Amino acid sequence: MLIRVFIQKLAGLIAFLLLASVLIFLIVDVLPGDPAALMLGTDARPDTLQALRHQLGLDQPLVVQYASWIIGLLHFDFGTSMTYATPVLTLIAERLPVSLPLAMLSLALTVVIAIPLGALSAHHHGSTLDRVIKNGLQLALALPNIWLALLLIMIFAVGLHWLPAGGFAGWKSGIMALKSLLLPLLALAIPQAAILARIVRAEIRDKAQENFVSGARARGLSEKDILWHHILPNAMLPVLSVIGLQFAFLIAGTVIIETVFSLPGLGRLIFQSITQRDLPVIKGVAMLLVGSVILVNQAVDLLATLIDPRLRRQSGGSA
Amino acid sequence: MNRALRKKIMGGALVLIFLYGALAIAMPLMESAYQIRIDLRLMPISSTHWLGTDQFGRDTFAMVIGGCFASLSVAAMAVVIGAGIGVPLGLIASASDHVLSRSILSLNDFIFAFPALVTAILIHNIFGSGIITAGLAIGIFNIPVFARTLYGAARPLWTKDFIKAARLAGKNTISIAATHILPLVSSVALAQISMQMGLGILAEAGLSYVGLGVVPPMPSWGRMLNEAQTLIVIAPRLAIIPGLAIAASVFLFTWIGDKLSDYADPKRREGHDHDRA
Repeated sequence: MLIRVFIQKLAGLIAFLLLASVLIFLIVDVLPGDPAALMLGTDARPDTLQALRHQLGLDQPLVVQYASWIIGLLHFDFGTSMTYATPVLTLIAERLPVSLPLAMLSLALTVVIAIPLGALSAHHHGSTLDRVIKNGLQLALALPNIWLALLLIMIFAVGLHWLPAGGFAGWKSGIMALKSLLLPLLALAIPQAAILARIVRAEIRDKAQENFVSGARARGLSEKDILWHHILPNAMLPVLSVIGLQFAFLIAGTVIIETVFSLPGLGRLIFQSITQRDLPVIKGVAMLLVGSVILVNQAVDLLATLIDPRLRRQSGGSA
Repeated sequence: MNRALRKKIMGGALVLIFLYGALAIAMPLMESAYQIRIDLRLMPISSTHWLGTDQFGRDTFAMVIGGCFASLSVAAMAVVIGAGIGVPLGLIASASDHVLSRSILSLNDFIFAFPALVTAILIHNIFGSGIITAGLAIGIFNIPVFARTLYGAARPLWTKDFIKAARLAGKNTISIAATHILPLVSSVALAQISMQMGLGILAEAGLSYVGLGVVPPMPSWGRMLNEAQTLIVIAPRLAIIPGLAIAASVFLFTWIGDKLSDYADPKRREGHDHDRA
């Protein structure tokens, strides 16, 4: 049973990744017409154009072009950047030590802020505390993360001189590296945590009205016990799927916030390659971003199925 | 939906459309205010420049108003795309058998892997920067949002007795969806529209900040934030003002969305159990 669920999810994952690669290939390489002309501009000489077309493999049928890209991807060969004349994978690998911790830590920070806050608010629902939290969350979720980043820079970098306003000295600088990532992390996590905390609160309040809670109360369990051992585990399932969805926002947010703090991550790479029209890099980074969102969401799905046997029966039935 | 609420929503929507029309008319009139005028650079707040001017001598107040027009245009376009495709998709999924509804839901999950920023990066080569790229990129992500919400709201209705009665009366699925299901889920759809307007404004600001959104000379809140960043020490007001404009409008739309979804789902309505709203 479990193995079947696992295989099912794996098949879904592969199907999604393939579909994404076809779409990205079509949008970047096929729809704009002639990528070579796009990269060189309108006044390029015909022989240079022809040479670039040949170098990019554009003189071959589309199916062959796609096949060679996807086979390359499977061998971790993302192609070669036109501007850097370096393998795309090397460029990505140089930037991941900034982007990956930023995305992962901001997701972790989001969860760490949101769950206690949502639980606290739901547990004291109707109280002044609840109303303060609720209104605070409504306000925080409307904050654009770029603006929040600028405000944090104004306060903690320009005003108090506690943290750097941007830049990254590399992980070798130790505590300095963490300091450089702190403001970007807060700017990313706070609005997302507000969204998540509202869902945590709603789910807990929803589950608190179910029969098993009255049952637990009738058995004389303490309210604290009921919240932690009966309501929270049941409320976590829908929360988990929201966390999966938020990963997409955090990926996009990471790329933008890196720009705000001039961090040498994937953001800088991708925006440079947009201005340079470096299509192999654009394709590679887009595939990486989309692929990681797909991967995380499938993993969250699988996790939910492992936690809740009811979902297992459901997805087993559809096979 | 009761008549009083419907009146309120219609009123709100009319005000918004009127405001948008006024902005559209005001835009060309204010064009001179966002011409680059180096002699007017970094003017303080005064009676001629209500919010001062930026480093290029453009009037910040006029820029905020113009940015409002750009934000609303992009967010509205994204909602039209998202609701236009997502609402029917969600309704079809709610009415159909296992295979079709599963495929639609899977398609939703797939589109969720394309955040607006990634789509904008991809289609930038085709459309360049501008309202089209931003609206399309945000709109595509809106499709699964609407489809999922509508599916969730409509699915339980199909097993209700009055729907069975309508079927016995010989009505087909499409006419039941249009005459019985859609009116019942309209408040859910409206709540989502308001929510996505807010989130669309946020997304537009992000896209414009990195140069994938609205292009100059059309003002944009996101680009104002970008241009203000280098002057954060000498003129913090240039960064604070557009951010406030974004936060206030997003707050307004998400707050209305919240109120509407409380209405749509009375179980979740705040103060339902102790009359405190």
